[in-house]
Amino acid sequence: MALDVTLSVDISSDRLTGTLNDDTTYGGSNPSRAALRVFADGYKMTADNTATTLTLTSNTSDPQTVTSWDFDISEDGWFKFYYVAIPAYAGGTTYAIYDAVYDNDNTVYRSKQNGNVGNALSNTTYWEVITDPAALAANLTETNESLNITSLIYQRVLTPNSEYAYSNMIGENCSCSDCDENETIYDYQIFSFWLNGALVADERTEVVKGETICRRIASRFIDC
Amino acid sequence: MLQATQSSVQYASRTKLLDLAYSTAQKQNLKKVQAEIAQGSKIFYWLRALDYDAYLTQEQREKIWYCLIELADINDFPIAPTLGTVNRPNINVGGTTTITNNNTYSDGTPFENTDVDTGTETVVSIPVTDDYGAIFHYTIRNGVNQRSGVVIASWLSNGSSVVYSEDCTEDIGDTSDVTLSVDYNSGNIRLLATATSNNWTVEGKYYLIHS
Repeated sequence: MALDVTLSVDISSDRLTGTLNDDTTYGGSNPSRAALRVFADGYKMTADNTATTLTLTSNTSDPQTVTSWDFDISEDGWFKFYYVAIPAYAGGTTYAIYDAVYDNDNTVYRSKQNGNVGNALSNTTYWEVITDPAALAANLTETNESLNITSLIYQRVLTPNSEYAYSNMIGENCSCSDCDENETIYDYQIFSFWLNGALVADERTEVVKGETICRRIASRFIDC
Repeated sequence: MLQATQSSVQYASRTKLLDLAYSTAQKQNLKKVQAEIAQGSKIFYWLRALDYDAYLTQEQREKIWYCLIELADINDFPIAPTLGTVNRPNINVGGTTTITNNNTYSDGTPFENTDVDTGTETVVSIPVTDDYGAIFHYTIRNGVNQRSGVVIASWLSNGSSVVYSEDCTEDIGDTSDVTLSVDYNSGNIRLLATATSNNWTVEGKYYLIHS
């Protein structure tokens, strides 16, 4: 299914909440939104690839019309999102193993066999229910990839708390009359250097490097 | 006059900035990496100066570029003469046959698998249509371990026979944990990566060879 997906993240002014936005233009050269059901999952990742599930709160519970998902930002660093767009079941279509479809109740099923045509979704010999459809994106490029759906793994290095801490540090110190100027300027230097490294990591999707830099910023300038 | 490409200098400098930020962020004792912090900070300041590009003369701009090239250790940086707009060359091969070189790097199709773990994973899968071959330009990397190279593949239209060869750079570090191969599967030609350790990235561009 050829679907050109565009995602983005907005961050609230209090830095506590992020919003994953589906900016995809449906219709035209893309399939129409009415023909798809869209699902997303989110994870906060550590540099050793350990995932903590984020609670995503969608702007509507209807996977046909959902366009955004809110999530808590407990700390800066590497965030990973799974996005899938799944087509409707069609009785005349031959499905391969791992192909996924949705039914009238928006329940998602995955084919258990190749050459699966004309079999009811309730037939457990041919179909299995997928309770977390967005997790299908994790199979992207793996041997069990669902080739008939659109999957995307969208990764960001988010730095709102670091950006705030940097500005706040400058704001606090600029009126400090008894601060050691050399020491504070050295801190500005390290902070801006690391923060910009994290911004480049976000731009390049160098997420492990970005996460590592964010943890170091936090340990030196935020958590202490 | 020689002219470097500003966007290329900025890109390479930002890569160096990221690498320095990453390496210093892993150190608890920052006194041991003061030189790297100073180097990274300077790169940041010089890059920031280029943000005010509209106010700079060409001479000032070039001074900053050369400072960045030196500061960021951008070895073998391509400095090309200013040629203005250049048409893609036509190559005449005998008689009236003409091969037009329109396969620039930007024309390739990007591919990536940013998490190749132990086992065999598909890096890219290409439906077999009217094409009988492909060239994959790739980089394999994991931290400081990296190599780049080219895989050339050829296949019969029914997939009954697939051959490929690989040519690559020497390793930076050690990339021997990852090998590449090409196979045919269900109407698709696949570039596969077989790894004996986790968290490798395989990325690049491929170019189809038309009949």
